[in-house]
Amino acid sequence: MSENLFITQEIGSFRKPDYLSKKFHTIEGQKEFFDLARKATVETIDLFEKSGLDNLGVGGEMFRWEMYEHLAANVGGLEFYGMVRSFDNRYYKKGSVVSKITRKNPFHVEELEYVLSRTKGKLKVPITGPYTMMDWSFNEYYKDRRELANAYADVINQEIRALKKVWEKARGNETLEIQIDEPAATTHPGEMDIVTESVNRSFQGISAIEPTIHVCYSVDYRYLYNTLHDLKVQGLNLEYANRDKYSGGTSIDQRPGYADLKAFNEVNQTLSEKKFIGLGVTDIHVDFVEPVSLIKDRIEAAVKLVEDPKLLRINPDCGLRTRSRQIGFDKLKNMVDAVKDLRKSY
Amino acid sequence: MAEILKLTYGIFPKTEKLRVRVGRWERKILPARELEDLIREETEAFQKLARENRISAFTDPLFNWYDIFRPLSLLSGGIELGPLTRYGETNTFYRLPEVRGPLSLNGTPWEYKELGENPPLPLYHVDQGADQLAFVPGPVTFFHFCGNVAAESFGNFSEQLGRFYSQALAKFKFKKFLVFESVPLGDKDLGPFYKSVDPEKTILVTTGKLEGKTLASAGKKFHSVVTGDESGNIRTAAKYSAIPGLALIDAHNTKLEDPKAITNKANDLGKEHGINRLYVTHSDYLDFFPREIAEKKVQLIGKIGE
Repeated sequence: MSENLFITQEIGSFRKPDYLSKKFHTIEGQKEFFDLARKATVETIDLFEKSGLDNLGVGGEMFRWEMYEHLAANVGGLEFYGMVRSFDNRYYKKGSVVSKITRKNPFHVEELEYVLSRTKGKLKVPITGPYTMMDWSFNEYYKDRRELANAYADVINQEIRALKKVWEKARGNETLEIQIDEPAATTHPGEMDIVTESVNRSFQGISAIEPTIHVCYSVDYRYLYNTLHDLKVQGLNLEYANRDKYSGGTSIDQRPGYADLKAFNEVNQTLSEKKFIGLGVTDIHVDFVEPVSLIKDRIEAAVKLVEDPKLLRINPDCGLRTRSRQIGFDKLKNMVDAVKDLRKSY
Repeated sequence: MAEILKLTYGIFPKTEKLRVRVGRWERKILPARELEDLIREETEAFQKLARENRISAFTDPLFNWYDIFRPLSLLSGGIELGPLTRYGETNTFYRLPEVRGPLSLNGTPWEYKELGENPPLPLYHVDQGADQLAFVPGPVTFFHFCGNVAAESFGNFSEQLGRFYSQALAKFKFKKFLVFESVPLGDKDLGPFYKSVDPEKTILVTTGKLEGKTLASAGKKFHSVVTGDESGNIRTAAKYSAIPGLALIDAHNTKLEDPKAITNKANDLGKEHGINRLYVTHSDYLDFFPREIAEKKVQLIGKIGE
């Protein structure tokens, strides 16, 4: 049995307690905000630890409201003209890049410092990626999409360097895990070279870190798999459970959500340094709490497809902020219990 | 110098006030009737904005359309709402219209009606001005973005869609239609659709390369074919329509174009191709913008040619 097999991890966000979410925008940046964000972080770390999760992320991203807005609020060069529709009556703030992108303030330093002060556990810092930031911004200033994505990469690179300093102070030589979140990565299949270039640029010149990428709800992950020779990440944390069935079984036919891991494996087998998959085993869009047996089946099906259990980490499809804290906890607990069972047989 | 006609179409972004009210309606705090009153009021404000800016032709701002297919899907027998799906390469999502059987008009779109998964009807709020157009997604676009569960051929689907539109729009008494095609027409046969929708009353907004053979398949010249300024397109648009149109305003960039530069470009293209009247408009509908920018884009279109 190996404790290092099937490491369980969170993807990033977790539902905020009401006392924080209801006041978030009115108190953001004030002392009360930091007090409440810290309180929520402690409670969430505690909840993660109770679930048995190996990697605690940054305690559910209690310092951040939304992945685009948080980073955008801390860079110079953006102007906000108003809200833009995402779907139905849901809107988000989409910035317009009107001048050179600069790192106005640290994005996540305060959050990481606080998390480090509260736990000795394994951590992973999610940062919104340069391609997604580019794709979700209007571009009034840069020559083209590549130039803008690279400009975002440069500020993210500065942020990672700052995070690393904080990390080393607390954890010495332990490896800092950085997860670049790129939900937009495969939305323009013709731009996978821009995704690769800008993500690599975010990590450029920074050693002793474990870089990973998180992508979700892609129409086709093969666009991403096909970049693996060039994309300088050690692992891909991806969503699969959303595409899968609820019935049992470990064959490809019984686990359609995981079938395209075959395509991943074909590319992975050609790499000199193989990448790992952070396997999404619980759907963050439904309250249905996947039973331990179903999660075990999903993991076992994935083991068959990637051929090496050491190449799997286990996570929810995406951030669990879409579910209540109780449902989120129940989902994580079952995920951990499934892994504990499986570790006995590997 | 060519005479420049100004056109705006499609879903227009809501005001903050309307967004908040729609949110209240979704949470069942605001009655649908009260929401409908506000939508009507805001539509009138939009009509005023268009007319004050000397827009020659405009569609309803479609404040009660959650996406460009939703109310049509809900009004059609044979279509069920599927999952939220990304709209092309944008960061906007729509409910997939799943085509499961023959399309048929189910209801009276010209009357007030609560729909549940979309703000209430009517489909359009019209004041019968001659400058108002009906907006509908074109057959190529609808076919491309639907879930074709019934495995319909494009020909059958587009023929049914044409009939469905003609029935749904009959009582609105629009003088012209705007058929919006956001994917390239390619070599599709447009004939079956335009049996029920008169090309001579249609402004066809296109994207990508235009083929003369495809436009010819509609059977008659269009009132207008609007195109981007890709090489050769304007010539094709002019050949197959009475008044060709150019989409010269970027609907995906908040940067505001210079109306003088747009005027010069339209005039140059008009002169080059012997065109004496043309529409100028934007490259996509304006709902991808914050409201403030959409209004500014309409204002700058108003200044083109003046």
